[in-house]
Amino acid sequence: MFTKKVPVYFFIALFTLGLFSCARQVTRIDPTETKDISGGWNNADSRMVAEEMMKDIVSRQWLTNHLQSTGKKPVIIVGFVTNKSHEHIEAETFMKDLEKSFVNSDKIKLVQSGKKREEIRGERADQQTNASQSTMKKFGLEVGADYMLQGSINSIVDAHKKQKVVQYQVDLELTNLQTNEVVWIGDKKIAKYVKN
Amino acid sequence: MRNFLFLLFLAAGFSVSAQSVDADQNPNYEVSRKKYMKMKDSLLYASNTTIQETYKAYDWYEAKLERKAERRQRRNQMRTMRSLYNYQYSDPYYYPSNHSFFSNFMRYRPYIGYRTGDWFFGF
Repeated sequence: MFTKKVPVYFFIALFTLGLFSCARQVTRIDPTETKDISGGWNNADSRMVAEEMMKDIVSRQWLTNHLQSTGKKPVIIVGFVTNKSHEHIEAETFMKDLEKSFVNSDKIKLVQSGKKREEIRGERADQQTNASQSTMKKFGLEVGADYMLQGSINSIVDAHKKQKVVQYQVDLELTNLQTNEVVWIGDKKIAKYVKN
Repeated sequence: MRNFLFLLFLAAGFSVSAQSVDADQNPNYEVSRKKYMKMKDSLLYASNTTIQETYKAYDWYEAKLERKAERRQRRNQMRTMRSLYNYQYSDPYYYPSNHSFFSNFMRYRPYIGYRTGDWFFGF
């Protein structure tokens, strides 16, 4: 009886296997893991840039000079990053890591910029008519930044037939808002050889 | 009168504080200040964002794949157009339609022959 049903079980098992082998598979990976698939800009590159910049910016002389001349922690505002490479790259992925390192280092102060600052000002404006007098926040008491952080991403592509060499260069610059003096430049170069 | 004098004193003090310059400050700084005060919103629109000024890099392999896809699309389009507008010259009243099995069959009938330029020799 059982032996007669063996081929049936076998075909059911085979069918199930075939059904699940065609389904999409998702495997969770560690965000710090490097997996190069297309050869384009990926999470590993963003992480490498963030690590390099974080290490460099807090260890350079500009920070000591500022502390010695003013006796206060420098205040940084983040400007824009221009992506002039051949790929769509969102700089926020590594800029946020950098901003986080400023806040966590306790050596550098960070002030909000861009749309988030606009939203905060909007909320403050709303408080002028809706919040109680004791909790209402005032206009004109924001901390002015000492330095602005700006950046650019560039790339060089050399391709022939099925081979390609791509170099990405990420540059970040810190400029004194009062004097226009560039006090720090950090760069990270990433080169890749892609063979199709 | 007292109020007026107080306001005058306040206004004078305000104007003095607005005009105070540092020892080494450029006396014409106000020209630049006025210019940039007008432009500040437009200058800060992209603050804390990534401005995308990407370029298209020439990649031999990718260009080849693009050409291939383009060619495939063009041929497919040509086939579709040919089947839609292929009048049968032997039958001047023929017009392709979706209503009969025969016309659908004729539309996708393979043609055998030789094409050179705009001329097609076949059946």
